[in-house]
Amino acid sequence: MEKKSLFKSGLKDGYPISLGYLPVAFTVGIGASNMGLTLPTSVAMALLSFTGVGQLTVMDLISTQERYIGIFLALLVINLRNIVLSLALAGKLDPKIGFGKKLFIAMGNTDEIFALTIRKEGKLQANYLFGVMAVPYFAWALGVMIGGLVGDVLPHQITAALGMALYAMIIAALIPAVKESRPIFYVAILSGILSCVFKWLNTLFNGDSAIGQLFSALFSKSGVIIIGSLLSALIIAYKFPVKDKEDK
Amino acid sequence: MNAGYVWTCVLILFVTTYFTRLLPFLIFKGNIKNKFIRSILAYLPYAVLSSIIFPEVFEQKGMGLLPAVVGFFVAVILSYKEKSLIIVLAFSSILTYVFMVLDPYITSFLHLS
Repeated sequence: MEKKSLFKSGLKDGYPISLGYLPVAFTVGIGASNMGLTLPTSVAMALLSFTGVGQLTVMDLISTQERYIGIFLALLVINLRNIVLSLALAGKLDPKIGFGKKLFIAMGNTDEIFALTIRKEGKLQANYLFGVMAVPYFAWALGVMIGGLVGDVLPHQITAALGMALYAMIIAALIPAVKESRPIFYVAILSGILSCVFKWLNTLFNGDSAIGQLFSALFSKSGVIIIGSLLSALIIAYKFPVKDKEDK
Repeated sequence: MNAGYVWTCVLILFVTTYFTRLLPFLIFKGNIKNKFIRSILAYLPYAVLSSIIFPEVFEQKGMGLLPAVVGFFVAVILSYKEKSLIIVLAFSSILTYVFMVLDPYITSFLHLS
């Protein structure tokens, strides 16, 4: 396919992600203006990080005037799952993609964009990925800006209901793959169960002692995603090694 | 609020987010020969997706269990039928909203009976 049409087909696949991003971005923008962050700051945050969880966390920590080292460690733990996501996406990239383009692709590898692109057949082209990322990226920043400017425009129930769209997006990425492949079905079930178990384990540890803090970090959401999903993938890969036809 | 402090925090946010996203692209080179590692990489994305969904989908802010369960199953059924993404998103959030509105009535009805 030509470069231009690759970009276009990316745009077409990617724009629905904005539907899920806008309400969350509104919420982030509203939160930022409520805590007294200026508009350039919150929009710069959106453009530089392109993440909801990270941005909400840093705002939370700024409001309590946390020290830099604490902020750095907290954000690092939250973002560790990105390594797993990017590792999987890197394996699907067309090997001919150069270093410069990878710099941009990495910027846009959010949970939702990852979910959408990872189920595409065959190797991924840079221009397709840029198309997928373009609209959600600017929708995210725009949403943060509008949220900061106009505050609570939407009733809370509507914002909350649109939050479901973020999960629906990930469900839509998972279910077709689960339907087609038994091992993927098993890995999804196992990882989902582990995630629930870890979440429950996390409630058993309060942050009082050093050990408690360690375990609480270990079973945080990011920790769960890393440990739980790696463990499930490991077990299922051992039980059901991929057939050789799968390398395209 | 101290502008220098805030902008330093913005910088920390950028560095931690971007470099965790970028690092694997820099170290991952070419095809992997080992079948076991290839198998792990094949299953890992779906394991990650599943652990992002559970259990958080049922514990969303400002939403009871009932609307979350409804929205979840609508999304599952529509994606099983391989409807387009925009349809899945729209119907899932609309029905979630409808059940958020109905939730108090359903709850009080169940308490009455």
